[in-house]
Amino acid sequence: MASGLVVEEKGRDASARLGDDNTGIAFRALRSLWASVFERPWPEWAAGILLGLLNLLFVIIALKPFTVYTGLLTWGQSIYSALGFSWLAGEPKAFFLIEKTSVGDIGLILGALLAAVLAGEARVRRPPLRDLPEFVIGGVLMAAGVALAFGCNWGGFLSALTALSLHGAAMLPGLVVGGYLASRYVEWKAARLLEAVDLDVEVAGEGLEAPIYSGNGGGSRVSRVIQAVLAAALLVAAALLVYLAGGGLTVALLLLGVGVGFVIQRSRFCFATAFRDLFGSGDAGRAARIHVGAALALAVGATGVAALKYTGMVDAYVYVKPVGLMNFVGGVLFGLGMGIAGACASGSLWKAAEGHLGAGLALAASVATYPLFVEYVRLPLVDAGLYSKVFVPEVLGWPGTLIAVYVLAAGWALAAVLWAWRRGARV
Amino acid sequence: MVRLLRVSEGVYRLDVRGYTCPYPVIYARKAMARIPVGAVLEVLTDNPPSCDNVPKAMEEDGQEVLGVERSGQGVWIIRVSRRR
Repeated sequence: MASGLVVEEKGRDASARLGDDNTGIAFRALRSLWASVFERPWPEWAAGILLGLLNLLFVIIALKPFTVYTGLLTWGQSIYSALGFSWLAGEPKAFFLIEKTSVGDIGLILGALLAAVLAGEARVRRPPLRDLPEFVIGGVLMAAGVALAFGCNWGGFLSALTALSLHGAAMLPGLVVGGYLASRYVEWKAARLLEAVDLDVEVAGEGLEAPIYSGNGGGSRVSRVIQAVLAAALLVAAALLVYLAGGGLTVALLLLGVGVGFVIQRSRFCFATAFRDLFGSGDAGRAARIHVGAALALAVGATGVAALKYTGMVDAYVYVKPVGLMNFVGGVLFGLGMGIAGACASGSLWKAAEGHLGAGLALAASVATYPLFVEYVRLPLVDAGLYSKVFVPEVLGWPGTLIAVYVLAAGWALAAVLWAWRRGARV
Repeated sequence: MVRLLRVSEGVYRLDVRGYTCPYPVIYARKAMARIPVGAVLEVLTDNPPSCDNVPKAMEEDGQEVLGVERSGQGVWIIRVSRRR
């Protein structure tokens, strides 16, 4: 009996310990899951697949792929119009809480803000004063490039190819050239800065304060929770306003934008990095990983859009835009602009959301100038007949188009990875 | 203006807050060349990708990365010991 009692006691002890261990294991698993989703960076390949799926959902609901700059056009024209300058920049085609791209952009900003807050990465970041002109110039160059290329890194490239429009393929070489030129500029600037600065060692305490940092391992969790609640409240308020303006489907577009913003903030999916840092002294490995993610986004999105267009669920000519030499030129300008500003179209939105004032300035410069580039550059070029639209399946047939998309995506990703390896980078 | 401060004996701090890629890597390499072998460089950044690419660049240069620590909301401190 005694022996049995002892065994029973041992069993109870073991069971209690097991219970404690299970609670501990469960808590640690939950903590690890939370950190993986909300705190650690997401892999670019996973982000690419998610972005392809979100883009596909956007096509199903909005009958157009996810793009960025039409939203900025709406914002810019709305501001010009409110100030009495609609004669200069044209009237917005819809109220900014109804226009699909604008709503997606607002969602992107809110999603990125929420992601940054949950990760403890939201913070006002002030760039050096002497860099401010770069953000303005970058934003203006991007706007000019978008006007010529019929879209940005989304509408002129990724979403264009996803919609099986040839204008996306025409912008790609331009982005590579623009990225290269931007890397040259960055190298030149860095060399000049280093020459000027020379980083003389100064001693803290002799009239100089060392930079202050809290050293508390990540700031107050309470303040992060409060910020997250505020960001969520902002999202709910935006959803309500969008619902009142445009109804349930418009709210769905807002939420898809939130999804895009969340994914690209967590994965830091920036095309400026992708195209600029393949060259020069940038992180070519990370650039290549973003290219792989974007190629996956294309493969996933284009497969779905091809099915929708082939079956007639979506009109075949949805988002088929004009193509010509100007798409390449636009790609060069856009690639250079985003490389100088350090943020692409979507990048300027999500980086501004997480507190980069420089990205916000580039965004403001694009909003201010894009309506003017559309009015006085794009429309006259279209009128001059310099563009024609090419829907790829009309040329290659449906099977040929899908094969071409997969070959392009695979070749593009492989080329980026091999290039990065050749430069000695880890991918 | 980027500043390199000696905060204590053998410990130097480079403040690149406000700078985005690729400047933190460039400045970290420059700063490393300015401090004595055996000293520790603390790179203060508010650019999340720098937490990955600054240590990677330092390792490629043969330096010893001591760690990356969150140091307040949206700020990280990367500690690297100069080995060569």
